[in-house]
Amino acid sequence: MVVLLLVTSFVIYASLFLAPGSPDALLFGAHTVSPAVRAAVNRQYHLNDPFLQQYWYWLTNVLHGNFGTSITYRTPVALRLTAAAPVTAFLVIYSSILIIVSGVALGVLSSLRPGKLDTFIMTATNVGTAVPTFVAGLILLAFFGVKLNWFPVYGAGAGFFDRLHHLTLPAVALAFWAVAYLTRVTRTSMREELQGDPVLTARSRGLSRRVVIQRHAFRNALIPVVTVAGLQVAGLLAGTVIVEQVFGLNGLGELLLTSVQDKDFATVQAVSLILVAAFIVVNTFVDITYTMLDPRIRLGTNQP
Amino acid sequence: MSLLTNLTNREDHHLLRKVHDRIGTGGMVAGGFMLFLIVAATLAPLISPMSPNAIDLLNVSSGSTWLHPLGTDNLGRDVLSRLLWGARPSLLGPTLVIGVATIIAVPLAALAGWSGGVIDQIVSRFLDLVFAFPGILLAILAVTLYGPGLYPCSMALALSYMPWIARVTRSEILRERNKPYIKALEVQGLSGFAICVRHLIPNVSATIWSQVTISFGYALIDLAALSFLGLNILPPGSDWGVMTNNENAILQGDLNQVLYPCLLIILSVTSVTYVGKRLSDENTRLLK
Repeated sequence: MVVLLLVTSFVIYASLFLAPGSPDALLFGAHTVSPAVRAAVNRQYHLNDPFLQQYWYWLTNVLHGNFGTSITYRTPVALRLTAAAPVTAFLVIYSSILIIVSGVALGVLSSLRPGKLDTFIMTATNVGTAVPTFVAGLILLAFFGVKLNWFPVYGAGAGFFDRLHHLTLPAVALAFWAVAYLTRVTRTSMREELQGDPVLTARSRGLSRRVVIQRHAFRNALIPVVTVAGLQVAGLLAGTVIVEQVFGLNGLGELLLTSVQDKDFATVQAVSLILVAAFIVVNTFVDITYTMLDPRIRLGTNQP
Repeated sequence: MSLLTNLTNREDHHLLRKVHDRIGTGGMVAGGFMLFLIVAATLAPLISPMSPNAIDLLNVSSGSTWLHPLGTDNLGRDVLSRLLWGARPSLLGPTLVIGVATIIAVPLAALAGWSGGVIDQIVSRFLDLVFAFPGILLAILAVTLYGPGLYPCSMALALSYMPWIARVTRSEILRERNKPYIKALEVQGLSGFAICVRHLIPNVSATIWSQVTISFGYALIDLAALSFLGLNILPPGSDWGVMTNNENAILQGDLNQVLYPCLLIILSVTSVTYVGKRLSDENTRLLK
């Protein structure tokens, strides 16, 4: 994981040098500057040093919480990050809870009630997986925000309950696709377990239906569910860019997008690094959860 | 490859039945809908009632009328014409993404699966690395460097879809590689390259096709989202994603101008994914 983090940080940093033109031209964007300023900036960003040394400066600074200075706003990037991060974190956690609770619940329900309910849930999730996040957001915004006026259509709110109210529609929009997908995975996994030998054995021992489902079927069915849920939650981080745009929230995604438009590369690097690092950390966390759920899986063994 | 050649080599009156055997009635309907969209997009200059950017100030944000069957948007542009013209980048974009992704992924997967050992390790670690970047984020990075547009967005997405196709292909090739007929070809002295190109890849192509079909749907969603964010297709050009980026209309309750492109995105993605899932179910069934 540490290696992967290092390599991704390197890729993100090096991408600055992939741009057409020299890095300082990219930093200045459309501004024309005098040679003296250019030299000063080159010194400030160590642009005259060898590339690897520059990367090292950046990395050690990042590890100390110093993400550089935004060239457009002349404020430390770290300050802008700490202002934006709580909204995104709240949104992602809220959405993750929705995904895991409703995805697993619907999947289990669907697997236990074959017939009309199952068919209905499967059709709904089939269409649900095809609904892009921004479409879900727009429809929710139009219906619950504008038409029914139940939820605010703009901003993130202040204080816990106000924020909960403001972020409900965005969280649902963000969760929508993932809930549909997780429901399908949970259902498939549950059905396989319900038809498997452990459940048959447990039944023949005369255990109650409840115990069989809870202890034997559900627990064994959890492994693929955890994988997919983990990937979904990690994927939410990229989805926040879209949802924050739809609902006008000042989170990390919004920060990333405005920085792209401003060509504010220091901020773009910082936000990308945070999003990718979070993705990797969540994935590693999922791998660890695996080994807790199923002792047969050990980390580090290479399966083909 | 082999799926297409299998289908086209047979006599014509068997073609539809063969397709039906593979993807079922639902798949036929879904595939037919996609075919209809492709034809409509191709014929857009001929069949669209007016120019997609023509402004009719007398009928701004109108509902359905004889003149504008699906109404107009808040600038008075005909929604039907914009949908037809917008279908072109909306369908071409994902084709580009998945085409490039497949062209990179399949040789890479064949190389890894065939060589094994260190090369396989290196390729697999590289795929893991690309996996760590969400597609949307890669596209945003590309836009930062090269400016907005279909080209940077679709190339970035192609890179991020590549591992999905490569992983599936690699594991299929690993499975296929140990079969006796491959060993027989090796004993006959055929080069590894020739075996891969002539035998191995064609024999796993069914799996590649189903993965490609499913990925197409997701790429369509991602490109539409990027257009919505203003990073992909830029006005006055338009695709379905651009058409949904109309907050004024939503806040004023004029839903139809935003609803139709949303509906088209959902329907086309549902269709494509359904066909892809049917293909992959069919593959697993055939394996058993």
